[in-house]
Amino acid sequence: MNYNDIAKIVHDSVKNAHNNSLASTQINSHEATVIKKVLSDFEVSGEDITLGTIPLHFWG
Amino acid sequence: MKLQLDQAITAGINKILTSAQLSSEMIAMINSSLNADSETGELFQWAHLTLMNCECVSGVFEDALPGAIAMELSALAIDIFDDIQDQDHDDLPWRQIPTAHALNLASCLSMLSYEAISMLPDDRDSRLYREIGQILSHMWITCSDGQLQDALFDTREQVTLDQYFELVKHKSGSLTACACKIGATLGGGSESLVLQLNQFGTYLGIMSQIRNDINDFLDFDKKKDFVNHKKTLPYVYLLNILKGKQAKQFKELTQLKGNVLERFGKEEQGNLQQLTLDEGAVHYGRVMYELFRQKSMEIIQAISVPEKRKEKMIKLVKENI
Repeated sequence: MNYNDIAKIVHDSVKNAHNNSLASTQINSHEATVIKKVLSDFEVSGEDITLGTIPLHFWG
Repeated sequence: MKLQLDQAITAGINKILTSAQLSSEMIAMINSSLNADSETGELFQWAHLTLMNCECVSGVFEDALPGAIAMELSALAIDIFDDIQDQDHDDLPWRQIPTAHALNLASCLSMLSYEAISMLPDDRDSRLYREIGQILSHMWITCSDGQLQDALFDTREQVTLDQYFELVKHKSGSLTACACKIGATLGGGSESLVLQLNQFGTYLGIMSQIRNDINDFLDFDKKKDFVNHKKTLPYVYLLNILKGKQAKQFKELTQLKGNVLERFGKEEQGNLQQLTLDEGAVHYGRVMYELFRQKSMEIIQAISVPEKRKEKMIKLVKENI
């Protein structure tokens, strides 16, 4: 997983919502699918700035 | 069932405290600290994670009880050390006593966790005791090193995303991995199954850290992560991704001079919130959380145990963000 490339693609996608760079070859297709889905869900749910809890509280 | 398990864990802890012949003051500190940081009211979460892994592997969880108690006591000790290091969570019991007392409490808990694994049944050459002891020691070593790197990161101007995730793997992933590995080992899992669940635990810890970092970053009333230069995921993302005017604006916010808490007022908080949302820091956190969630789910789906035994583990990571 290339954390930096994913960050660049997320940033580009958020800044240019209608002209994003998901076609980039720097990440694999699965990662691209996840990015698309998460960003799309984010639009639908509104700009919620938190992440929900995972069961059994948290570790970390 | 959960109530009975909680009672068994409580009884096991009480037995260890009694046999250790501790002072009434130390016992009182331990009892007030156990479960004090549970946000949901659920008890002994680290012990339950350990038991869940044992049950997943073997179908029963009783064999892992001493290991689960050891995990609970070690995790509490690490939590206390972490809060002292971060000067954080002022509402928790160990932050409301003198630091010297809290340090001794954490040291005592760490050694009590080894007392817990001495309750494991006698087997050939005490193999289980040595094996679980090694897993626990490895976690303490990795986690301590991660905590040190965390403190060092606070003083550095530049931290990359690779460095952030490597740190989180050590600091948070090692704890959850330890719980899963102890449970799987005491469940009699094969070497490859134990390794798979160890990896599952690492991902679980990374997910938790991402969640905490995102949720705490803009919680200016309760947390001081940003003004303390904590290199949380949104911070590291913005540090690395911003260019030009936005990078300058972010740098100015990180370099407030004088009394930082006073200088970082409503206007600055608003600016940081705007940058965080507009530049995709929360989006990135969600993407990374989801990628690690899927990786952990893949492991559970791939492990060679009856489907029925995977249900609790799947539920653990099924919840979407």
